[in-house]
Amino acid sequence: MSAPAIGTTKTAHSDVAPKKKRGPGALATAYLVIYNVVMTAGWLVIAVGLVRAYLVRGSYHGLYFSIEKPLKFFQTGALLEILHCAVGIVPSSVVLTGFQVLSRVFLTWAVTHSVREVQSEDSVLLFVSAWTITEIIRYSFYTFSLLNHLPYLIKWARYTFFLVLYPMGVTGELLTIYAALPYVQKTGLYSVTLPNKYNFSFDYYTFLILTMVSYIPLFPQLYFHMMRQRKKVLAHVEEYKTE
Amino acid sequence: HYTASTRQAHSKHILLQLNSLQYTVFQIAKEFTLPVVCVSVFFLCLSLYLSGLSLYLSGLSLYLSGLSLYLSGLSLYPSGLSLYPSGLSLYPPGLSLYPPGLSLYPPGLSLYPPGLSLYPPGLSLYPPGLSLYPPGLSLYLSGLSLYLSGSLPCPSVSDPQWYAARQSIRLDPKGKSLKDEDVLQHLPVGTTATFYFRDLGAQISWVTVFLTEYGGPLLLYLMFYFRAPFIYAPKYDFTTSKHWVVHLACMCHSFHYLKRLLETLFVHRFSHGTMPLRNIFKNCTYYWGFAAWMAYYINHPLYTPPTIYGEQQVRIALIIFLFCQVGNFSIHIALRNLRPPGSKTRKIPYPTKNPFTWIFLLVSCPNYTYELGSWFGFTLMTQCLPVAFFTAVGFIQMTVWAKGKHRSYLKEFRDYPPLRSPILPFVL
Repeated sequence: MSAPAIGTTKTAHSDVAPKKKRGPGALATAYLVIYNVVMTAGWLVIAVGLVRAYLVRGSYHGLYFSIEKPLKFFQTGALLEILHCAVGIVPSSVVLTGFQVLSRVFLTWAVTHSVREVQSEDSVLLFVSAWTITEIIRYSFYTFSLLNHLPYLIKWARYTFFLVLYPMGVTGELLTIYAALPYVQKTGLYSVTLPNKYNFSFDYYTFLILTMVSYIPLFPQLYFHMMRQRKKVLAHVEEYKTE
Repeated sequence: HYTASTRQAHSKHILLQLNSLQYTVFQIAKEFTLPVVCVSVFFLCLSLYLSGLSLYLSGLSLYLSGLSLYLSGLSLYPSGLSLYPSGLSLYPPGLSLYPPGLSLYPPGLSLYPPGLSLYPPGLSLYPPGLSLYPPGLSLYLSGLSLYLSGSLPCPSVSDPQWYAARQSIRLDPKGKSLKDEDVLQHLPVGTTATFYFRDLGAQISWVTVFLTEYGGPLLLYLMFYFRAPFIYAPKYDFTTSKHWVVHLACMCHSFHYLKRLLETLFVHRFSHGTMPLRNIFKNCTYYWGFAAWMAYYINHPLYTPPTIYGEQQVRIALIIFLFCQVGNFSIHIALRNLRPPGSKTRKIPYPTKNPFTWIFLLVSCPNYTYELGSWFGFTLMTQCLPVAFFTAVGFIQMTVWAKGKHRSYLKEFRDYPPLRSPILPFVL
């Protein structure tokens, strides 16, 4: 079992065939379709918002502010996916999904939202755009799978775009965290120091550094896992096509 | 590839052995490359730290030997509080260089009446002992790796690859494993029997795992307690806390793990000899990590003793802790006495004459109840959030185990007392 990297641009559910569901009945399937459609629409809104803001401003700096609210809303909405796994209507592991979603939410709220100074950084645009494209493809992939009408293009896109988007997103995330470090250290954000009544201390600055370090083992694992998935999924289709 | 040969050990038992390639320590290392690499990196860093430490201390010893001559005439050496040697005597290989140097240490560093510094005499003897530590440590580590590979019940040139402890033989591929004591004549098979073999993976004995996972916290906590260098700021090296709660906490923590070590050696009777090898890495990370985390805060120079109810809180917490320690020990003895040595019979535990076992009336797994109580007492005593986390995590894990045990009791015994709960009376 390969652990996913934090804030992965291509969330790798261990689902080569999500169509193989024994769990959800008709009601759950309907709910999931609605959920995935809403999420696809949401991320499309973010994509359109980014493009419009670029056209209006003429430059790609500071585009985060134009899509801040929908980004927060829809990324936080992904927390529902953990619930789906816990209840059983999606055949993924709760721990794996939880880890992925929580890392995304962590980046959205605990880094980008909390440290205002990084919001104007270009690295934010880097990972936001990577996430946007990934999520649009991923949610439409799930929607079509649930309806059993998956166009090959979507499947191909899902298992190919990550090759570029994933490193792009990881770079954006790392640069953002790195940019946030001096401000966190200066203001002591989210940190607790000794002495205090409960004899506990937490240094958010060190925590962020450790987070960055944790990308080193996790990123290659997940990247190569996705590459293996790609070979498996797209190779099957090749065989099927040649028959 | 491999031939299955049945070999009759004696008239009542049949042992299926699969003959194949020899299983070497190298193969074990390949199977667990990542944990082995992590462990070796950890030990490498630890030995680097300790070599640096010994250099620092040899310089310190010159100053202190002069001082000790003056003070040795004045100091008191209360005996009986040398936790180190007794705990360390469980690590014979390689560490035999350690106790001589260090057994001189505790007398000097044992609890002293406030105001009377016993440090320098004991400490002046410490550095020479510690400077022997890194070479001793490397000997210990080589000894440990040999010991671990030896404790895996397999590696000899003529042994088959799948030694008995990792064989799981079942009548049904998804069913339960057959026990060692099962007799072919009493199994539900006809004139032909089909067995399914499953490889359980590399195994390690329970005793080894327990000793390692309990020895670590004992030593690590003491390192923090004595404020070894490079943990806190240099001006605090080898100082002691001015709060008596900290000394008390050290004694309680060390006593707890010492008790566990001794119970592992002399009290517990294990029904399964072995567990999967990867468990030792998982368990040691958990115990050692949490012990270091807790010890860091409790022994910190900026530690704040309990403020809510002060001394009274500490006293009550100590009473709870000791009560639960005795209770835990009583339960272990009671469970041990349920089962005669060597047998694997399973019986319902009942209260005995010992009042601490009367909790059996209400609880299936009172050893976990008392364990929770001990750590709860320790949390109250230290008023430290990491300790509370450790208690909470331990509580969750023990509840899972208690529920499983309770369920298996109910399944196995028809007349199981209905009043009992798994871990907390009436509640859980």
